[in-house]
Amino acid sequence: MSTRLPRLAAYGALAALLAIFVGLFVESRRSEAVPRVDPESDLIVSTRDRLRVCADIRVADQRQVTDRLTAGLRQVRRHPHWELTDFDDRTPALEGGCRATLPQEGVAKGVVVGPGVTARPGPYRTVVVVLGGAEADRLLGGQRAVLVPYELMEIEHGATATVTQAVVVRDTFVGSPEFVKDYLTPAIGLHPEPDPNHKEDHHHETSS
Amino acid sequence: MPGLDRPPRRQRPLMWAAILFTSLVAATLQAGPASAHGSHSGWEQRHLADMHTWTAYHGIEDEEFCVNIIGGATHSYALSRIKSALFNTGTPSWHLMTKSDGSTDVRIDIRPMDNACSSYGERRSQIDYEYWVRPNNSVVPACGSDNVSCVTFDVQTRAASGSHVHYEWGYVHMDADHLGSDTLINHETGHIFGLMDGGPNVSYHGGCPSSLMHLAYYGCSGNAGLTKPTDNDISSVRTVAAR
Repeated sequence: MSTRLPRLAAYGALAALLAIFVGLFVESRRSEAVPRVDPESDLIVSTRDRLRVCADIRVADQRQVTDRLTAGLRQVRRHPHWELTDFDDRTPALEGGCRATLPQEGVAKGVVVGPGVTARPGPYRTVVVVLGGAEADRLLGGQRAVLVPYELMEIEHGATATVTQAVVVRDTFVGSPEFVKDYLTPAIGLHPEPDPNHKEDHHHETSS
Repeated sequence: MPGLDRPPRRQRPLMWAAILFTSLVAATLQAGPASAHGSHSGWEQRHLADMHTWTAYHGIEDEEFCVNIIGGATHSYALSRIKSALFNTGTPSWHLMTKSDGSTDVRIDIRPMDNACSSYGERRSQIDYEYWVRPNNSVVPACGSDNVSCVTFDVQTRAASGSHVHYEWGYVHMDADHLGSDTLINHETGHIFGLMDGGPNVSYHGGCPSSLMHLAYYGCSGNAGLTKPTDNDISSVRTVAAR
């Protein structure tokens, strides 16, 4: 009895240490998860667990713009491919707190309007920037809207990809069906014109 | 003495438990996050959306490209060099995914747009990829350093079929000094169509098959002198297009 007690105590101490270590390890892995681009995920980044959309609204009537954007998101939620995505069932709520960096020379295809290449991307998959009046004229020129990178990550040697998509839009265009279809839908990651037929129907190879 | 009465063998379970515990701790500490990986199977590769579709005429289903000059070369020179590398180096060729035996797959139908990218207004959104030319030694954040060329993909969407995700647009960031090389123009274009770098010196190894993506620079000396894609490359791109 006298020799068993120290041995049992030692086993107990080892088991306790093991449990503590495993707990700490799991917690550290959660908190230190390394974001990476997931090549098959609609959320793009491995550390994102749901679709989040941020709005940077730079016009006076924020309420009206917010209502129109929310209606647009509801429309996107009805996309026939939504169920195929990694998004959950809910229509994403518009969040605040993001601020695009808009270059003075204007916004055009390919121009980065956010932090650019990063190893630690933010939680938002999509950022909507709404401009009005003279600022819209100056930065968008003749464009009604444009899709541009906000954050990018390295995906492999010699290649980067947008992981947070921005869409910069005039306030007067936000409520239009064309904006929802051609800009907001792809900014969320869905095709503007989903094909009802399956892909295997298409194969076109020729020999000469 | 009590210690002498204890059989030595009876201490071993505790010793083994301690060794097991230590090994477990050490092994766990060594374990890292999953490393990046890739393949030429076509199932994990970033690629342009329009690679899956085609039209019998020049339309938005074709792979249109334009040239955007930031510096280091004139638009006419850059466009001329890119067209020459893509269309005048014989077969195999990215254009029509042509193999050396002459077989083609029309889902890649490359169409140069003759004016500067910025001149197309909203029509620019239908142009699939762009060559952005910068002076030598200029910093290209997307490439991570200067004096290199690289690609960026933009606007990830789920395919019209719903089967997978890909990118609506691509950008080839070309160092102006690389415009003189058919090899580098065709190599960067290979990235746009879904192929990764390969060879002993890059994270995706894949050995050294005959491939323009497995350059001598990446440790595949047998591929030195390639100026255009190989039949292996065309097969890989056809696999990507068939997704």
